Amino acid sequence: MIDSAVTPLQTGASKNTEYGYLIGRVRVWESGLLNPRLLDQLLRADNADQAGRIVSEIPQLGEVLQNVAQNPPSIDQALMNHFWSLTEEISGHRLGAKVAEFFTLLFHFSQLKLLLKRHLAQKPLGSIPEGVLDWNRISRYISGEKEEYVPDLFRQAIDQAKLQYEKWNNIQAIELVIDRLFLSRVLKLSRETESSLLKNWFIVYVAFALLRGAFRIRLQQRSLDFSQLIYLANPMVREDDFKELISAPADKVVEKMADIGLSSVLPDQGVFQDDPYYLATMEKIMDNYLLSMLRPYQLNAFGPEPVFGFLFAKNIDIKNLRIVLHGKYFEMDERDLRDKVRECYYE
Amino acid sequence: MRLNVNPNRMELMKLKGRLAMAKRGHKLLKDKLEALIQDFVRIVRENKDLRREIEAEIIKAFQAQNKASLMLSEKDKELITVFPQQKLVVEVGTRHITGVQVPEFEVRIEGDPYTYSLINTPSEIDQAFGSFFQVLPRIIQLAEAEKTIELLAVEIEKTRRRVNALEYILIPSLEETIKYINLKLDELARSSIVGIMRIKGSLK
Repeated sequence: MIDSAVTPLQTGASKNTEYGYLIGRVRVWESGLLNPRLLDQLLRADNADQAGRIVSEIPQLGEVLQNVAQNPPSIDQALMNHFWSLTEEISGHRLGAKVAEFFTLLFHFSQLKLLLKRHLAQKPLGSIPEGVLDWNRISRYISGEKEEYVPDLFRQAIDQAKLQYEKWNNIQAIELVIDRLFLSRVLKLSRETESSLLKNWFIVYVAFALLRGAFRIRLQQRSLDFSQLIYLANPMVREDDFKELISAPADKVVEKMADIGLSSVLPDQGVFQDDPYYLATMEKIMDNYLLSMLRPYQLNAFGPEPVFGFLFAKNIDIKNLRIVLHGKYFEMDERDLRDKVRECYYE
Repeated sequence: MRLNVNPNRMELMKLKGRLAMAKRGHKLLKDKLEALIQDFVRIVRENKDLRREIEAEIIKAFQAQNKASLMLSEKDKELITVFPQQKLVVEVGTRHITGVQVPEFEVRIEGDPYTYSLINTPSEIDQAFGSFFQVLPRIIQLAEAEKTIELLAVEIEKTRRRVNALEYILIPSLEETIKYINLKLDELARSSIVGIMRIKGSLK
């Protein structure tokens, strides 16, 4: 990935100035973020048209969704393009690249999975995105042209994913292997970041991802051996804990979560359920928790935290908008949508 | 309606034979009709329960799918569905119900339904996949039952038409024709007796 160009000799003052420039940009973009009042108005909208009119009055978002066909795929495409254009703009900055790397990694690994799956399913590769990475080279490497130059990270991901797919004869092995590599990169980010908040945030993100993985493995009744494909050593969830979370009876899971110090993410404290809706609520609590970690730093004048916080908040906003606009389009119940939406960055 | 036949003893014998045959056929067809209706009603009742259960399951599956799809971008959806590794194997055969050939489907699901990431997908997607793969074999079972009902209904309709044709057309017309021939033959016999008596009278 793109490494930070900041040298150890660079003074804190000059870095602060550069972050100051990025934060200035973020302050402008922040007017396009949702707030609880707007979210409530969207949720109370009678139909998709009314929700669309409310969105059209939000700065930036209104322009993003202008002239977009009012159907879920088009809306989703427009929102994702908006998010990636913001991420690219921040990445274009010398210090911003490191701050936005987490989101760039998310996109790259998801694209890699898609290319691998399309190749294995013998389906056309479809449109290949343009960007920092040469996806055409990567697709040629996937299809067996080993001489192609591919960054080490992706070479490793493709080779390991193919190996595990052959071993398990299960396409989910690819997902787990690539997810593990993504999480290992997130841990690397936690070691490299200069911000203690982001260091903790990345560690908590990995821990939450592993917990989600463990509970889903329970739900899908996977073997412990298979579950090892996703596990990686990290400061919060030890391997033994991870295995116990998968194999222990439901009542023991609560105790184990308390031991790890993460019982607060369980929806009904004291009762754990192997139920998808219970886990969906847990996922919402996790997202809210991650956002709440970043919230106190939103008004900082210097440092990477407000920039990262903005990108994460935007990511959550896109989720919320998708939930509300798609939900209204399919005439879903307002209560169901309220259960799904995440908290806003600004309270 | 009387049949257009010559009123003679030969025809009478033939018609009596046909009438006996028609009555026997009518009884057999009526028995078949009753058996068909019994099977039809039984399958319709079973099918009604099955349909109600399947409808409830489909609603549950679609609700889970709708909730999951709220959390997924178009790209995520493609990632989930691009490589399905579960196969639905349907073996098609036939069986007989009261002489009616009906289809018989044997459904088998092979492979793993879960092909997606555990950390980037919402949990409801597991519920949606689980419910759909549970309900799919039952939908095929329902299709088998509905096709059976359709074929039985066609057979009942056909048998009922045959029974009615025998009961209200063929048997009455045979009986009427037999009665007519009998009358004709009696008349013939009477006229020949009168003729003989006349000859006998003229000889005296």
